[in-house]
Amino acid sequence: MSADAVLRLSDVTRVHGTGPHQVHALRGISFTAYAGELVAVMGPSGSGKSTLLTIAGGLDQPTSGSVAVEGTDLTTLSLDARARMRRTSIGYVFQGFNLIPALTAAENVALPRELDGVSARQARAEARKALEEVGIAELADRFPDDMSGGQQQRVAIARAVVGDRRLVLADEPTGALDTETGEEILRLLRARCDAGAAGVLVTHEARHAAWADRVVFLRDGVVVDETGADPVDVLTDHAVR
Amino acid sequence: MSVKHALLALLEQQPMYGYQLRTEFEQRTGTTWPLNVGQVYTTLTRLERDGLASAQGEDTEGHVIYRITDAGREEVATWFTTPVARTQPPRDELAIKLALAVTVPGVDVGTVIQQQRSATMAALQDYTRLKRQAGTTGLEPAELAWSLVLDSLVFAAEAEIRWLDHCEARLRRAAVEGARQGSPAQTAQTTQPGAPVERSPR
Repeated sequence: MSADAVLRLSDVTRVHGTGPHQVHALRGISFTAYAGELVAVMGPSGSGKSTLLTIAGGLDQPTSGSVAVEGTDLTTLSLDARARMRRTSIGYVFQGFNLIPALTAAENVALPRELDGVSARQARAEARKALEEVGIAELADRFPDDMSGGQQQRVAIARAVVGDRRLVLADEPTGALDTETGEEILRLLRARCDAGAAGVLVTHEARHAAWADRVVFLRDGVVVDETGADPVDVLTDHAVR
Repeated sequence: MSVKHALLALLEQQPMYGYQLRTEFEQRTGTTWPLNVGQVYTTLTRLERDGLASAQGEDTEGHVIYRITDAGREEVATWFTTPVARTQPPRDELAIKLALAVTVPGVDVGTVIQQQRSATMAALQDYTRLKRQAGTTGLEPAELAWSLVLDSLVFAAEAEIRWLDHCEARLRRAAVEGARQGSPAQTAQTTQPGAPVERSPR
């Protein structure tokens, strides 16, 4: 049984700037997230955790190393092909929700599917299903401004998973929420991973990282430690699918 | 922990015998602070001696049933309305260990911090797993109580990790400043995370 790695970073470095102003954001990071697994990445500001996530999501390119999503190396793809991967395989959840204010909840969620060429009707149906999954089917026709922060973040999660994308990347998704609402968001991410997605959660809060199967500690662009279930154990539960 | 007050508070609900009290206590707190039955009976004897509870005969199976007295009710009311004293911080082995680690020569403080952080994170993951099993909706009062106790453990572990992060950041800053000022004595130094702390020669 081969390991079902959804995301695999191999020896990734990212250098910003040149000469004396060079900043090494990541220094040779190797990191894998398997299907069915939620991995948290913890570290102080400047440790490289957000850079890691933007590279994993194809929003930024590494200086060296490879980034494979579902077996496809993002670094070898054309801009167009990479954008397509981002729409079909990768879901992104931000701290600031990043919903389009002029679109309803359902339209926000349907957008990536429509951009991907799915018929408007089917996209709407998928969006409704995704909103149902995150528990806010009844808010489908509301605009973001008429929703609470927790509700907006649920819409953002629905948008990240619509179309059965198997890699969900979350950058401080609970940062703007109170503790109880934040916990509901983590429950949702967790449920999505339990249902077979691979999740990567970047956070500086230990309480949130504790929802993950594994916690990776970053310092100065290097993984300094890792806790939690051995990824091999995680695999035995999910590999038989 | 005040076993005395906890048992009295439970007796305020209804008269109970020793084993029952232990069960009720553990329903609310999990097995976080295990009570042995012997401890329960010793406490009940003391409560009776102090006039806060009284033995009310036996049930059909021969268990001695205890009932709270008026004085006991007053004692419970006072307990609930009095904040838990913080005058004497409980002895904190971790704080003591770090205080010594940064001052004793040759100790790798970075590693001490990182190992503790991993261990505390593993505990935090365990608590969170229990929370996930417990769920959040439709909780009975005793289940709600247990889930709040779990939250307390979660927040305490989180606080410890935050403190460890803070220690690490301060030690690194101290190392940078120490290097800039020509390494004055008494300054703990770390050249990089995980590097041994060294004391400068006098």
